[in-house]
Amino acid sequence: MNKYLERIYNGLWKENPIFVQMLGLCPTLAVTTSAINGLGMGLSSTAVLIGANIVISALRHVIPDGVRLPAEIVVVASLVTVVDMLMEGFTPALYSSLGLYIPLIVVNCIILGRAEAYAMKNSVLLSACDGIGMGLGFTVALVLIGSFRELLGAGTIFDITVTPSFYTPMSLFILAPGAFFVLAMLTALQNRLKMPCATNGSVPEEERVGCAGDCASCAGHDKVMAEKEGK
Amino acid sequence: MTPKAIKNAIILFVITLIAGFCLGLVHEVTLEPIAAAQLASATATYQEVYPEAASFTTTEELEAKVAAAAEEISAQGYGNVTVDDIQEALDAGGNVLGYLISASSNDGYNGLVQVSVGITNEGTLTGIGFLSIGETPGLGMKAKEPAFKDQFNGKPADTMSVVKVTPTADNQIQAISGASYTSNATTNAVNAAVYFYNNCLAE
Repeated sequence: MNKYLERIYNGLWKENPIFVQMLGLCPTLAVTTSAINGLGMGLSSTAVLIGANIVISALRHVIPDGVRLPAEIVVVASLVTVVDMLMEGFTPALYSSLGLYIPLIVVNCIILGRAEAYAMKNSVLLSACDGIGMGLGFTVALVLIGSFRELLGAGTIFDITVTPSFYTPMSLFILAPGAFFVLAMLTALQNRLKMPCATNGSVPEEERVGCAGDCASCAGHDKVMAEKEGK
Repeated sequence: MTPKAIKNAIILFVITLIAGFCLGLVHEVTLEPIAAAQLASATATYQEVYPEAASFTTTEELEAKVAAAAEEISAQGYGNVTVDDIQEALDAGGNVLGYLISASSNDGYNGLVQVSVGITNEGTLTGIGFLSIGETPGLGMKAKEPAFKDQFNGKPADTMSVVKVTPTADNQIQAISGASYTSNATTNAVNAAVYFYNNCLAE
């Protein structure tokens, strides 16, 4: 497979940020009250993810190792603010539906995770493809969780009623506790079926990415340890 | 301070400086379009609330009345409400048809609910529209649907109460099922606007 396409497949399926890496769970729990919200958050994150990966990859030889985290945060936060202002000014219709999610992207650890684990070490084009793949993987996961919660909680998917009239929607599922129930169920299912997931030991250690819940095998950690030993 | 630390600090400073400069630039460029977009969206809501009006305008005298009524409004027992803004609704010939009063309640499930209420000179509500609302999607956000919102259309300007059954009186509003906070906040904001219209405007 072409190495650029491989990045997209990797993000969508093999290392899906939500289901496999378990990254960015905070916005995931917060915005998946409906399928359309999941789609909005997913697509806005994808745009920022691609931009952040490109900029950080282009600057990877400029940014010194010692201050790479603050430098990455500055880049990501500036990019998000620029996107926020441009959208509000020039595409008000899009802003009214997606504007809610933009500030949430700053605190999305997928962006920082990918900058740290991939863009700092790879070429601009590969990093852009990685951004597309991870973004799409995030979008698919959010839409799935959102559809599930919307179906149980409101009886609709993308605002179209799908359940028969005798079904009384369980509003609990579109409230905060529903997010935990749905995610816990999906994860339990994943563990039961031994599907790839960062937390059930099914991903070989050498394939684990940046912060897949295992700090000891984190790329950044290895580097720091090596430096310490070197001194 | 090692030379390496100083070099790192300088590079980080330069990156931050460039980022700050870019942000300032984008802010300048988008300042006007953002203001225009916000005005357009508010005007669209006003138009929806008061379809008969051709334009909306405000005067200093009206704004002074809004400021003067602030304490009186909060003492009326409608909860955490304020009247924010008032506009005259004008027809094509410039005659005042009624008023468009913006009021907000901070008692929504997620905080602020701001509504715009159209009231004619005869004391009839033309309708309400939401200027700002961030309630739970699928529950409180149902306030924006006609089933709840349009209940206010054509009601006399009178204090309204929220009921959980089919309304039997003219001043009753049926709550959204599962979203009492939003229903109460919206109705109280409308009540504040109505109170302002009835008691503070004529003075």
